[in-house]
Amino acid sequence: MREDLSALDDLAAPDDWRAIERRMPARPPTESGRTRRRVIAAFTAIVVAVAAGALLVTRFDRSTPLDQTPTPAPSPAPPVQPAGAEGTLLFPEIDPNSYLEMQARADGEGHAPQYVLEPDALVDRFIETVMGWYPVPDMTLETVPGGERGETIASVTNPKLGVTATITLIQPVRTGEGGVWGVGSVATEGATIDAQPGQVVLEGSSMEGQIHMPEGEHAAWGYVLGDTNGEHPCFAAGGNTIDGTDVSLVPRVPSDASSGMECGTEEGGYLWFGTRSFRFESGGCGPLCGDSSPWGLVTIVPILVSLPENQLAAGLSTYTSPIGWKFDYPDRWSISTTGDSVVLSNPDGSGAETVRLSISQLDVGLLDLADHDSSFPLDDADFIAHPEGDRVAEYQGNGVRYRATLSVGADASQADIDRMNRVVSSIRFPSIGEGEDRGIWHSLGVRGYEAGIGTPAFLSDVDLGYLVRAPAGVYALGPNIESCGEGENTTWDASARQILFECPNGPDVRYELDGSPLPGNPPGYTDALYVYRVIVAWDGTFLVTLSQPIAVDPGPLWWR
Amino acid sequence: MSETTTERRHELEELFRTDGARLWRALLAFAADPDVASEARAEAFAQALAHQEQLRSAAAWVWTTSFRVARGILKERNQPVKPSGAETQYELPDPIRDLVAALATLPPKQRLAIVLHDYADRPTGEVAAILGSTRATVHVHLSAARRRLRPLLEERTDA
Repeated sequence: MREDLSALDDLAAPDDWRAIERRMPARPPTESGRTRRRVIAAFTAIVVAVAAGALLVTRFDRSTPLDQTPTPAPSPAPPVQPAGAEGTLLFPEIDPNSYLEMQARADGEGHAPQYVLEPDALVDRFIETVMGWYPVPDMTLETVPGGERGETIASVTNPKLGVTATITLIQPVRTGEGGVWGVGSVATEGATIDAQPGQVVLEGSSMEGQIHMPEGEHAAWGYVLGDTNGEHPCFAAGGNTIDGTDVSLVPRVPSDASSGMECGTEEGGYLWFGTRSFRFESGGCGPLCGDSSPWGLVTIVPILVSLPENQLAAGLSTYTSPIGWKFDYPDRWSISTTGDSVVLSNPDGSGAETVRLSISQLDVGLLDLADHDSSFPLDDADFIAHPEGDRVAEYQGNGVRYRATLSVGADASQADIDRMNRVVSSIRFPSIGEGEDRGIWHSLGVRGYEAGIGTPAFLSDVDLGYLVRAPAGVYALGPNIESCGEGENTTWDASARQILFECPNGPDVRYELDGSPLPGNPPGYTDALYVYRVIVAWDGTFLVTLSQPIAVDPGPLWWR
Repeated sequence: MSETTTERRHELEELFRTDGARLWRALLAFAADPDVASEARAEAFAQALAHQEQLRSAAAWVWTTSFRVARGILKERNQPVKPSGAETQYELPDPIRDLVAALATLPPKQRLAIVLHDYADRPTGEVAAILGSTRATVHVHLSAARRRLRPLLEERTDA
């Protein structure tokens, strides 16, 4: 595809830089630009007012010399979470609730891992599994006087690298004997981040860092927010490789409305950067998600990320449907539900001033669903004029089809129309986590399904099948494919395009890409596998349904 | 003009010299209208010049803003992308006119994703920010766009 599109490089682009330099931005700015303009205008007004006020004071206050330069007020210190709270822990978990559970287990039947009860054992584990330093060098431990959470500093020097890691440990639940320990931060000389452990950081804001890379090493930075094991779905990670010494670390998190996550207005995570001897592809999760391969310099700072975009604006309420999709609407507007349908209308409108949105679920066959969910957010362009005067949009979210009907009276106010457009664009669906069920659909998650082959997957809690990503579509084969013996290898023969079980105690088992068994299959593997419908949800999740097999030959999906 | 402002101005001009042509071509591929491409690019750089002190990453900002402006222009004009890519003052060579016409058959979000990612090599995170969606959704758009576009481009090659 890239090669095809590279034909565009033959186009000669106009060189109008001089005209651009002279141009004043004339068009209404983009949303962010509009915000910046308001901020700039407001700031300018304030500066002018302050300057005018200062001049007035200095002219009429004879006690203040005109040439005295006012001292700028010191910037307020950024807010910081208390030790042990969310955004202050790194290892073995970042969620403080996990430590409560560990402590409960340690106090009850003693099933908490032993290393969380002994600070030197915790440091050992951290150094080995996160830093990848093995054998673990000697360490010194020093308790910080007056620490409220048993703060203890461990220093560990890697003699080969000549690098010293300073690791802060705290007891987030209970201090003293028997209290579980967690790692609160790690820092190595030569890699500094201008952020404190527990600092509250605004999403999208920049923290500065400096790294002095040892010769021959490669560096990257990253951030992680939330985790994939939490009760509420919230996870974001990103970063980049580093060239040079100065780094801007910027945690970016999509809004809950656009991502289907439920991060809320704040979520714990961390910033990191580090070096190692082999190249990075990108930033991302970092040492805490690594495979214990060795790192050189590593600095990781836990933070609490503030997500004001997830704060529902004043005057709005959220409607949540019985199956989890949502929209935000003005408080005073009238909303009514009947079964699967919901109707929203403006409060003061009647007759010609009415603006009304009704959404209902459509009952369509499996094969009438689109292979992919619709793209969100919806907007005005998704609605099509209906002969009866309304505007209608059909869309699909998490494998369910909906019809939205928008009725706008001839005398409806533009303000109410705009409000309704915002309601439409706030329609959103939750992500269905891997292994979860929603209606007829079972989620296979997003990752790990290579294109062009079949991959073993649990099509339900108990049914092992295959998710097959053909060039022109996705489907599943199953349902429950029995194991052919301990030590079997469940795989895919890419050259033959066949499911392949390499059986330790007998002949291999093979199925064609349409689920039909090969003639040589042993007893128990002679019935055809069923073909099941798979769709790709709005967030890329693969959803499969075993509610009924589909009588479709998947062969054509492989013809390219 | 302060030294910092002059430096930043030079940086933006340098960005225009290195990225400007590719940006314009990507905008043209998206909007199928060279006038929209020129206007969107000019407006994005003009805004960047006006607010250069606030920019953290000028390149990402200019790419994001120019595509948002282009979408805004198309919406304002209530102008769907013309499948033929015809009626422009700028004469597109035949192979490129066919390519732009093929791209115009894609829904806007798929077209935007494939132009930004597959042609302009913009990172999926940036594409997601422009689309107002997630990286995963960007991959869905890319997958759908490539599947729809491939047979059209193959027909073009065969012809």
